[in-house]
Amino acid sequence: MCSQLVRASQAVKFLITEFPPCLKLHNVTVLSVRWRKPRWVPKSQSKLFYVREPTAILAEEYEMLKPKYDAYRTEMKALRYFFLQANKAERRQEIARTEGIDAKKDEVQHIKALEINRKWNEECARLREERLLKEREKKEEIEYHKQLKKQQEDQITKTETESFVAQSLESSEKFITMENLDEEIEKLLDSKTDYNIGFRSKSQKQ
Amino acid sequence: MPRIKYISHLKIRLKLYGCTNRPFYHIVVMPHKKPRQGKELEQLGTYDPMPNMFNEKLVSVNFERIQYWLGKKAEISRPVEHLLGLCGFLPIHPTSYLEATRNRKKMAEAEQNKEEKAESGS
Repeated sequence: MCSQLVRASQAVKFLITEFPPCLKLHNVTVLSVRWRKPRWVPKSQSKLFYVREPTAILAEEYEMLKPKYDAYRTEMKALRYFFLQANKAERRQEIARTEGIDAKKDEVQHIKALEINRKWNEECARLREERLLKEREKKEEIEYHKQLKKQQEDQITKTETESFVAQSLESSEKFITMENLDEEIEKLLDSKTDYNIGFRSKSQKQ
Repeated sequence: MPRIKYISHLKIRLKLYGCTNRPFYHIVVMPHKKPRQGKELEQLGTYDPMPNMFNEKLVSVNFERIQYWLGKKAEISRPVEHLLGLCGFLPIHPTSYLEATRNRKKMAEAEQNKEEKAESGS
């Protein structure tokens, strides 16, 4: 039931789309056919029970028209088909005609494009080589400076170590060994350090 | 499934020009939902419905383009079908025959009335 209603409303909606926008209603199930009068004006008294009589079709006219209409429609259908085919054939011809021309054009254009491409490639190669050469030179310079710096640093460390070794060698002569241990002990024992400075009136050692 | 008839969106029809009491039409092709005076895709001819001094209603049609648009599945409106039928481009529309028969009938009746009047007068 519900689906039927929906279908009916959709059908009416389709009908409404044919009417001017002023007649489009929010409730799509109601189709207004009052073009001139507002909704609340009642049907006029004279038209209250009026039913329009359908236009009479004369039998002889109908008999005359029926075969003519049939023939007309079939003929029109045939003509339409013919024109359709003609259009298609024309289109095909146009394509065939332009294809050959395009192929030739393409070939010429392809050769031109290749030439342009070759020139471009050469230019690119030249620029690249220049760039690489510059980069290499720069790299070498940096490397040279690095080496120089390293050499200087090495020199400095070398001199430092040498002086350190010499100093230590010099100081090693004064080291206490097993041989002169007793002497040193004696020396230490002999040396007296007096810490009683504070007790004297004139702050003298002796 | 309901059978839905194919409806072309193109229509060859008349577009009204001219002014008050002087109609003049262009035969144009345009989308069928467009208003009468909407922008046409192409003008295919003209139609002057008012007889000139030689009692002629002048029509000019570009048949090649009409062929093209018919090949594009354009529909034709009734008046244009009528015109093209009379041109000899399409088969004559049945309503033309109908109109002719009715006119002939009217003429015959008028003649009969005339004869009767003449007889009664004499």
